[in-house]
This record gives sequence, structure tokens and C-alpha cells, in this order.
Amino acid sequence: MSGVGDGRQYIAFRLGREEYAFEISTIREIFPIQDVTKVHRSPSYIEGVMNLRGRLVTVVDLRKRFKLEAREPDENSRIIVVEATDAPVGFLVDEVTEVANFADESVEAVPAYVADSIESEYVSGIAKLGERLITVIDPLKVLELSADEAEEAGGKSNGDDSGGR
Amino acid sequence: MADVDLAKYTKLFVAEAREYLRALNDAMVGLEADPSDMAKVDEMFRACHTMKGMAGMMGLEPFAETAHALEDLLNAIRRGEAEPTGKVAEAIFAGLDALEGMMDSVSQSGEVKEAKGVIDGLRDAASARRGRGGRGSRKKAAPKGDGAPKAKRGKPPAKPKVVVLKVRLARRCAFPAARAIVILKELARVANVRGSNPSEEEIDQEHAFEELEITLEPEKGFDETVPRIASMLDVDEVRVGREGDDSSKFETVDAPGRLKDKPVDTPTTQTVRVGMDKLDELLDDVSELVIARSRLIERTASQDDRELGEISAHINKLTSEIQSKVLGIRMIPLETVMGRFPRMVRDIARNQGKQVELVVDGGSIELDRTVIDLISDPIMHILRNCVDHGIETESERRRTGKRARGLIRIVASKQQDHVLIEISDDGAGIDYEAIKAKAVASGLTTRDEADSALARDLLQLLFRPGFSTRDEVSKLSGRGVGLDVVKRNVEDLGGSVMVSSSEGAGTTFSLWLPFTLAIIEAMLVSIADQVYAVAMGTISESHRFERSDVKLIRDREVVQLRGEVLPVIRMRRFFDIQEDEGSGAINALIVQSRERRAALAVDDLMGHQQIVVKSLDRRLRRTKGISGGTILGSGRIALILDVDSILER
Repeated sequence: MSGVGDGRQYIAFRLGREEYAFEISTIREIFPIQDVTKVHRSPSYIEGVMNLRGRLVTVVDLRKRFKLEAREPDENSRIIVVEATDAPVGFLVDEVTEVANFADESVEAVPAYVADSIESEYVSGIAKLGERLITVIDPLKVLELSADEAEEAGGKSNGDDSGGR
Repeated sequence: MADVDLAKYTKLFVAEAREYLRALNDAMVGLEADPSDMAKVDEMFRACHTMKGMAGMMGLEPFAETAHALEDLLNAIRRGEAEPTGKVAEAIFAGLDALEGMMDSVSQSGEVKEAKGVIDGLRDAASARRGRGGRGSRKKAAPKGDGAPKAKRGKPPAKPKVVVLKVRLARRCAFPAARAIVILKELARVANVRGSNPSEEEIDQEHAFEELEITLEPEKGFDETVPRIASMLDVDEVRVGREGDDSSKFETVDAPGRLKDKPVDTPTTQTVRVGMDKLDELLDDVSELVIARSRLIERTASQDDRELGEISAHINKLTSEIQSKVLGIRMIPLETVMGRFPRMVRDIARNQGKQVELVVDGGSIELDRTVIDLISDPIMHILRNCVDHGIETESERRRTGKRARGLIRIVASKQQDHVLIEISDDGAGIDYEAIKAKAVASGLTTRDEADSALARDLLQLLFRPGFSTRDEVSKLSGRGVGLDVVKRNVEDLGGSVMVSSSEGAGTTFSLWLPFTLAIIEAMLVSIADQVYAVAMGTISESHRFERSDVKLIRDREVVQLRGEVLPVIRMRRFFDIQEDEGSGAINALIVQSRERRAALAVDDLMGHQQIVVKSLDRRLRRTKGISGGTILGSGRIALILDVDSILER
């Protein structure tokens, strides 16, 4: 899977039973789960803030962001830090499974049934690896869309994001 | 010319051009008010000329051409062929705006677009009095001047006069290489440059040099150009002599109109231009140092080691010094933002056919760079409001016996740990009746409540989002486009805004701002196993109340402290956390934000210390109750409670 070929490198990770991947160039580093300070009254998909070498970095709970069932982090949980346009942002995921090289032709456009289940704007493609289907996500797009909703939720208590788009 | 990669100088160019443009705008506003002030014309001419040279070197032709057209127009003014008022003044302002726009696009994309209309406007203004025929009499500065080809071909090659120019750059010159190339380009227009030491290639590789020596054959225009070079920014001295002459025979060239204020840079203090990012990094490191110091002192206190104690005390002292020096370096005077205001006020007033004078006082007060950057917009907003709605039309002012020209004052002053910026106009003041009507109409209050409300409370309504943006209120009361935004921005900085007004006599906005955001004294408290910090500036005292001290007034919890009734705000409840029943006693901080006071109930008080304020990213910046965070000695994060927004509910 990690063989060198024509293609790009991805970090694959798990949320529940679903597999996802970020392209590796967007990723800054990966941390085991560590102290995340809760920020009350923030948008619900934000887990809190963590100390990244003296900087306060926002951690997004990707499960909540994708409206999957909530779950307590465990020893397999990881925080994937992505360099967003304004600041680094962490994504909390259940488990990082592998670093993989997907040949460009194995990454296909988003089929309609996926476009229905999660907002298709995030999804840059579906990678087929034998039996496995891995959804390739653009983390910056996730943040862009989240920022809009955060703005709308701003001021309201608990900023419950009702996904009003 | 060799193909020199100048992209790396873009930052320098933008930074300098920005300074020149600010000075130009300022001077032009002054010149328009007093058209006879020829010193201002000279000053502007020099600034345009230098910018032209810099832009030419960077290959930014449209910028250079516009600067050149401005220069021509200024020259016409100097010769008395044009008056710096009316249409001519407009053309100059338009030219400056065009340059500003180009500079912005340079800093974003490195490219500029032509500003054809603006240049034509400038040329028309310059030639208006001379008639159309005079137009374009000074040709665009092409790299090959008129004289150059003639001299090369026309004269016999024998015995050309060869001159050597020795140019010494100021030691504080930030980019000697960039400067040297400007000079070489400038000379290439008026002379046949045979060579230089260091050579252009060496300059580009940033070889260190003390003096630039240029060997050349002068052509037409050379004699006028040399003094101009001598008066360029960062040029210390220019000497001229013949090839082969001893250095002592060289003559120093006079630098006419050299900026008089330059000698203020006394030779003992040299300045270095440092990027803001570097200062930010330095501050981050110092912040870490401050945190480490707390740990060291804590640790030392528990050890019985006299020598360790001494070392720790020394490090403590040094850290404090470094901290205050680094914070000092970040301080810049208010006038760096205020510089834009006279021009802006003039433009808005003119648009509305009003006459407004802006007086600024206290511009030398220094604030942290971050604060300065963030208050510029709120102040601009308020000024716009003052001109738009505060100051009456000329005829209205005459009718009420006021001076035709309206007055806006910005006064900055130091107040203990804050800076107070007051912006006042002598306009009509705020129409309370209109506010009442609006408040009643939008269901905020009843008519009776509105009629009995204090003026102060009515004014607070202006800062409510959406309250004042409706057209009818703007028309009636003459106030308030987006004052909620002003309030928000200022509060983001940890400051506050107030407004006061008296009918017929004008309105005053007061902005209270912190000098610096970086390091504050704070009380640490715990709420549901998390540590939070509260700025000492907002705390008046701490107090422990028994459960029986808590009374209910109209269903709200209150306590009494020396006769004062204070509302209780339970932070657990504020954050939607399960209430901790325990002993029932309440640890409270008595906090205040402007005129509001309350008792904040927290789980525990943990003592106070200096903390380094770090901002949250924009996803969390609007979170109620939290204004930022800090990192404790243990590496854990403590969020900073935003007392203003907690008391607001």
C-alpha cells in the first residue's frame, strides 16, 4: 500500500467504521490524544483548545462535525494538525490507520449516494483500494464551511450548529 | 542593465512607499489649506521623486509614471503655473490614491496596473494654464534620455570627459544594494556609465561596501541629477572628481533641500528596520521565559539553597527587564494611524459639501502595535459618523449661530493603565427623542420606560446590533451606522467605548484602550476542574459568601457586600456545567466592567500571577465569556474570562 507509484500520499484515518483520508501535503503533524481544554459556549463541533508549543490551537471533533454519533476519545484517538489559512487547526479522529499512496486513477469522483450523506463540498474523491472505500476529504474546505456556521452561531448560547446550509 | 532579481526588495519598497504616501497625503491636506506653503511643495516633490526612482528600479513602470506625472504637476505648482486647490488638488489626491492602490496590489501580487486616466488628469492639471500645447512638454522618463544617443553618436569618441562619483550610503541604510541600484539607474539616464565598484553584479549579490564608486561620461542632465542623488534618502555624501585624481581632491556635492529633520538621527543612535513577525517571535520567546521564571521562583522557594536563591533573583530581575524592553520595542506612536485621518475627513466632508476641520492632539502616545492595528478601523468609523451625521450643513450651522466650519477633535491621553481616546464633534448632538421612538417601535421598551430612562441608558442602545442601522433612525437621530461593530472591535482589544452628547453642542465618543495586550496580572480560579484567568484590572476584591448570604430579588440571586447589592453570576451555570452542591459556600470575585458590578461565583481561587495573553483563533473568538487563553507553567491552558461579556447578559 505504501509502494511508490504515480500518485499522491495520504494519511488514512477512521471515524467509527468509515475510512477517510487527508492528502499528506495539508498535514502539519499528528499527535496522540492529549489534554484538550474545553471551551464552553463554543460551536458544538469544537472539542476545545490544545497547547501546541506555546500556541493555542483549536481542536475540531470530526465526528461531531460530520454529525456521527459522539464517542469518548481513547488511546487510539489522534489529533491531526492541519495548516489552515489563518492558523493551525487540530482534527480529532478515532484512529490513524496508515500512510498510503493512492494512484491518481484509483481516486474517483464523488458518487451521488455519498454526496447525499455528507456535504459533498468537503469530499475531493473516493479512493478504491481493493474492497475498501476511503473518502478523501479536503480539511481546509471543512474549516471554511465550519467558519460560516460558527459566525451564524456566534453570540447564541452554546452555538448549537443546526447545519443550516 | 543586468537582469537583476528585485522581487526580494518588494517588501522594502512597499514599506517605504507607504511612509512616503502618508507624508504626501498629510502635506497635501496642509497645502490645500495654505496654498502658499512652498516648503510643502518641495517636500512632496522630493518624496515623489524618490518613489519614482524606487518604482523604476523595481520595474513597476505604471507606478513610476504616475509618480512622474505628480512630480511634473508639483513642478508646475512650484513655478506658479498651477494652484494647489480645486481641480488641481483633486488631481493630486487622485494620483496619490492611484499610487496607494498600486502599492496594495504590489504587496499582494507583485504586479501593478496602469492608471491611464489619473495620469491624464495630472497632465491636464499641470498644463491647464499653459494651454494644451504645453502638455507633455516633459517627456516620460525613458531609460534612454534625449541626450544619450546624441552624445554617443554625435560627438567624436576622442577625449570624452570622464568623471568619477563616490557615493557614501548612510550606515543605517536598510538595503544598501537596492539603494545603490537606484542610483546607478538614475545615472544611466544622464550619463554613459563605464563601470562601478562594486559592480552591479556584486551589488546584487549583496557584497558589503562602504562606498559606491562610479566611473562615467556625463551627458545632458547630469549636472542637475547629481545634487538630487546627494539629497536622496540614505545617501550620506556624494563626491565628484576626475578619473585618476587623488581622493582628497574630490569635491563634496551640496545636497539641496535635504530633509531638515534628518540630522535628528543623531550618529549615536542607529536604527534597524525589523519585520513585525520577528518582534512577534521575540515576544513569544519572552512569554515562554516569563512562564519559566514563575516555575523557577516557585521551585526555588521550596529549596533551602542560598546560592540558587540568588541566581533565581537575578534571573527574575533580568527577565523583567527584557520583558519591558521587548514590550517597549513594540510600542509605536498613535500618529502612525492618525496620519490617514485628515485626508479621510477632508474627503467625506467635501462629498457632503461640508467644511470640517480635524484637530489631533496626543498623537505621540505610544501603544502596542497590535492595539494600533486594530483601533484604526473603529476610529475611522466614528470619524465618518461625526462628519456624516454629527456636523450639520453649513447653512444649518449658520442658522444656529455656529462657525461655518465644523470641528472634530481627537484627543489621546494617558490614564493610569489605559489610554483614553476621545473623539468629539461640535455638531448637533444626539436626538434622544428619536432613540426613544425607535426603542419603543422595536419593542425594546415601553413608552413609559423610555420616557423615564436615563440618557446614559438610551445612548447604550446605539451600540446594540441592528438598532441603529435602520435608515429612519439615521435620518432622525443622525447617528449610528454600525456602532455595534465599533464596540465589538474595541472590546476585542479589552477596551471599552462610551458616548456622551448634549443637544446642539455635539457628541463625544470615548475609547478606553490598554497600552499593551501581551502580559497582564491575573487571578487564577478553577471552575469544574479547569483553570481560568481573570484580569486583575477587572477585579475589585474577592470574598467568600455563606449560602445564607445569598438572597433572591425578583428571582435573581444577589449578595450584599458592605451595603452594596451585587448580582451573583454562577460561572458553572454560565457555562452550562452541572452545579457543584458541596458546602454551599460561594467563592466569589467582585468584578466590574465600566459601571456594572457583580459577584462571579467560581469553585476555587488559586492565587494571582502574570500571564501571557494568547489569542484564540477566529473559530473561537466570538465565544461568550472567553476572551483568550494563556499557558500555565505546567503546560496546561487557562482560558481568560471575558468579564465584559459575562456581565452583559
